[in-house]
Amino acid sequence: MSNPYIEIVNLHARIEDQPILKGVNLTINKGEVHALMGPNGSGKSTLSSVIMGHPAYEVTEGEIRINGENILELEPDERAKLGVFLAFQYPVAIPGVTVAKFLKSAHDAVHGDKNVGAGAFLKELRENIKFLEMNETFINRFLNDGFSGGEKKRMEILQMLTLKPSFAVMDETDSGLDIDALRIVSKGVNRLVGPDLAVLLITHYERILTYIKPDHLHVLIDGKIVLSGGPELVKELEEKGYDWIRKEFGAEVLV
Amino acid sequence: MTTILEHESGFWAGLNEDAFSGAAGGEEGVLRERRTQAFQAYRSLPLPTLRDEEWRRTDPGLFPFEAVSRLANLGEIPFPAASDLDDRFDVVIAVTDEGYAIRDNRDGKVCGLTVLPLREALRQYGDDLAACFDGPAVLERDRKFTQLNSAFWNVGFYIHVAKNTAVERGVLIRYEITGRNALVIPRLIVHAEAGSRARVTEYYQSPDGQAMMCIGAREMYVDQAAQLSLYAVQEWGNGAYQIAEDWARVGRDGQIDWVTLSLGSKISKMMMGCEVAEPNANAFMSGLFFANEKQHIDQRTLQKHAAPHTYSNLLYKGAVKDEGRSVYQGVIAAGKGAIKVDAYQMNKNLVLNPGARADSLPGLMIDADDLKCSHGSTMGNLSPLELFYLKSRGLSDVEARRMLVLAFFEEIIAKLDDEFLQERVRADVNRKIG
Amino acid sequence: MPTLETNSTLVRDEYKYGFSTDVPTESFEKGLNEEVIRAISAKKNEPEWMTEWRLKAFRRWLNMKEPQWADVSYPPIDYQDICYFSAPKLENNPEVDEELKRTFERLGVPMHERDRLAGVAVDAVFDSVSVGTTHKEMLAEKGIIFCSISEAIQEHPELVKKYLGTVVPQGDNFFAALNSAVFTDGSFCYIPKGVRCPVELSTYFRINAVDTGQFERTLIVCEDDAYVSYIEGCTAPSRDRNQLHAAVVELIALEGAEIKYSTVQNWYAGDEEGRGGIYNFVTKRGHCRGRKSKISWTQVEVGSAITWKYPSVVLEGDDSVGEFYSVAFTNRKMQADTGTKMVHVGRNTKSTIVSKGISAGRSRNSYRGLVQILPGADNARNHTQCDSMLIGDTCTANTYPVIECENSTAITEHEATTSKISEEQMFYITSRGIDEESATSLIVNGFCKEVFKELPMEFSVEAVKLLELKLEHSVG
Repeated sequence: MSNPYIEIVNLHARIEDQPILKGVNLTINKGEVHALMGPNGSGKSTLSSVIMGHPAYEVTEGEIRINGENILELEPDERAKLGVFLAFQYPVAIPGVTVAKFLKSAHDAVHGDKNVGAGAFLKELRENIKFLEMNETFINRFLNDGFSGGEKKRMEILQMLTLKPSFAVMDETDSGLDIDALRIVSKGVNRLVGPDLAVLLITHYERILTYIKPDHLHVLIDGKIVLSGGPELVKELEEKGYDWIRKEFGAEVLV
Repeated sequence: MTTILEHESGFWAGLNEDAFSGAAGGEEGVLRERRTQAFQAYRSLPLPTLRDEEWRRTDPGLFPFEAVSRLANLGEIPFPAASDLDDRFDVVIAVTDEGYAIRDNRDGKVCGLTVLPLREALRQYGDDLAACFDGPAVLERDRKFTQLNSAFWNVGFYIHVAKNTAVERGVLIRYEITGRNALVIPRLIVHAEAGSRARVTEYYQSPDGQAMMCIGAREMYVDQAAQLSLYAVQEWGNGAYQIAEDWARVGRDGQIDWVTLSLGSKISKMMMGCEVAEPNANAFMSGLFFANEKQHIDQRTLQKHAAPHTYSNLLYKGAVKDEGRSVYQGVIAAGKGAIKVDAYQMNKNLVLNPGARADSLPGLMIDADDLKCSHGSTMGNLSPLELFYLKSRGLSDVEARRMLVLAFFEEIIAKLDDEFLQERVRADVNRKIG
Repeated sequence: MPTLETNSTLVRDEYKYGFSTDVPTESFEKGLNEEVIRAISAKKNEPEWMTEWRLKAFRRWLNMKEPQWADVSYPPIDYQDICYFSAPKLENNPEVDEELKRTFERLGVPMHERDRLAGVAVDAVFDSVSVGTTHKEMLAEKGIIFCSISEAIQEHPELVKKYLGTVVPQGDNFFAALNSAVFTDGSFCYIPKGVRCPVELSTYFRINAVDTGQFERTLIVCEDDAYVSYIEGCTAPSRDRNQLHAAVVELIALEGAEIKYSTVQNWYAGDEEGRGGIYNFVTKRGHCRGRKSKISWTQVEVGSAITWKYPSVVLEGDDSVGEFYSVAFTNRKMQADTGTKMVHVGRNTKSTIVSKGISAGRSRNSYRGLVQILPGADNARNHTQCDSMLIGDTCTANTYPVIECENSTAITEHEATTSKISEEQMFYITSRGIDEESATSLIVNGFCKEVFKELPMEFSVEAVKLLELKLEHSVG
């Protein structure tokens, strides 16, 4: 086997002189689902933003490699074309741009295949919408404009199904969702989970992990991964909380 | 009716070398310097006319400049009859057409607050006056009436709040002008030093039916992390003519709460300019105006953003009734480099009966790109639905209207951090609702 | 990292309408006096009353001053250095006719009947004259008159006499007076009582000759319960000298009538340094004379070196409705001072204003508006939304609304915002693989959506494309 698909190496990042990530190391292979947990303010969302290339964050050290290629110099759209997808914790509203128009533009940009006719595209879109148990009128609404929390998250998954990424980062996609919405969102993600996809599932709650089964679990505290393990770690975390990790292992400890 | 004022006649002819010498009599140092500069500037500036954008809706010819008496400096007098407001403040300044008096309620307790007539301030605070008089707060220097005030002010005060001191009850300046055809040209300088907190309240009164004129100017400096509240309660009688040009400059992390309540006067023309000059400076500007009978209230505001990360929030609410007329004209100006600015301006108007008129001219002048500026303006009468609701609960039409007008203004009145003053303003608004 | 700084070397949208047409023309000597006006009138074989009308306007104009209040600056215009009449030599010259038709084809305006766009009748104005109107017979069957204003003066003098100058009086402003004196052509539409015009009527204005001013005059009258949708388009060759376009458009809607007037203005805007381009000083006003009449202006302004234009509606009839939808895009060194006036005279009158300004490059973009509620306008309503978007930090966006209310039963609401494209929006869209330029265009088109949807379908598509073209290279 060649290089691992995703390699995050000694990643340091800051925002406005405030260091957030202080040396994150993470390796994800295709076909794997990695869950990343951690208390508020530990840097989980920063990591997802840095992976996607948010301009407000500055990487001061380290690399993110996809298939061996360092992507840190790439613009967000170039990363998307490489197959990176971020499901936003707080999706942004774009008034005046319809869902359909946006998805078609993104689809054409990422796949560079404008030969897929509008008809075929719409057909697939309709299927996906149905699969996510959304109303078809959705596609004529303005992107995320006036959407409820659950609608926004489903919108993210719809985009993911449309763009078919090879590396999906889910940034607290589960927060604020009721049990039905959570089930639907998970169903959407699971549809793509398989040998061609690497997933980094960032979450605050273990609840979603009963729907999307992780192969590995990592705990991020103060900008570093302090603990990694298998799915059995979930239960332990749930019972003992993050303070246990802080006390038990201190920083730098990896199982 | 267009009246072009002539320098050569009446009042304007009166503001000549002699008047200047009279006003400046015995004055020295920076005050005299500034007067002299201002006099030159004043003479070189044309008189405003209806053709000037700013005066298009308030004919300068309507001001009876010819009628007011000759300019006389106001000297110190014994403290006049007390008002029920007086005991609520640390220091009270009373100004009449006879002169001024200052009363200190602090019983010797030093609280970092200094209140002096301008001429006395010269001795102890000469350097500070040099920095503050006609200082950087005056954003527009080619203004006839700001220069007129600087050249001819006949009563003036300096309020200084020392670094890191908090003044609890603050200063009251109350004007009670009873003389017929009196002319008052007051000047106020307020300097809140770094980390200080203070409140200045001004109260203007004159008897109804009595002609008088007030041409005021204020300069306020709010230094780093200082907080200044300035409340101006204008209840001139219906014979009063007022022109006021006021300026404030807020430094880093500083904040001004500037509340202007215009209830009185026959004609009032005001300019209020505030510069949020350094990062994280905040300006809250609020206004209440109510023109009834034949009152005419015209006010212009400027929120100037000169630095990144500066904030301003303006809300001016007005009502016009009978044949009253109001003009609100506001500008948010964001210069180059004023990024991450958040500025807001809202003007809401009630037009309470046919025959009344309100004009609203909000404005944005934006030269920077990374910011958020917005403004809004509404006009309308009381909501019929709300009236109906109140009446269905047994209120008479008059009572229901009264309640809704008061409710409309409550948002501004509540900004006065002084319940006694709030009650007073509510009562005054109530009286005007009739 | 996505940033939105303007890279001035990239602000270089190709103006594809910048070619010029080489045809034999007849042009007057430069200069303006009563002789020139008589000559224009004679050239058009006008009746005496028309000549006199022009001369009266000219005499007024002599005593008027050019307005200075707008937020635009330009060197003084020498009105004696302009040619006031230029026309291609058409008589017995089929080649010229064909050349002109080719010009309009190249501009995307179908002049041959065989190519005509379904649903659109076209009048084409080339410099000072109309060179052809399509669909005439079909329209005539319905009693609709659609022809050049010159033809209308000959063929329908009673209608022209009755309505010309009644909405925009000769002395309304400096440029209106000038236009009244020297106008050379433009369109005339008359929709009789109860008729809904079955096709869009369209005029395409083309300035071709050098140093020639274009002074078009358009008059649209809708009788009771009639309806028309009218579209105008404008282009000019790229030339390094400024040219003046001072039009007057008058709309009259009688009882129950509706006029929808759409403009896509893409005059040459000058080069990167602000050399050349059209001065677009235009007076457009509609008069809702009858009860329940409606006038709606939609404009997409993407061209001209300077725009000075305030399409307005006087709402005199009770229950009448006025609308103004505008997109004004400026880049390079363009200056736009545009907006509207809604004058509420009658009862239950309603007006809506939606203005979207986009500034890029070193341009200046101002909204100026007046909402006037007169004492008799019981229950008048106005809603105004003005949004400005800045692209880069070397441009300016100003908003100068005036609201005057003299009626206590009226309600007006005005909202305005100025912002830039937010970093978060940009990041979100680019994270889906869409490049920065396309992302900007998506956001801007979304920003303008409310206005574009008011345009007739095919023009809406055109407008979106045009704006996209203009935006290309405006961000780098």
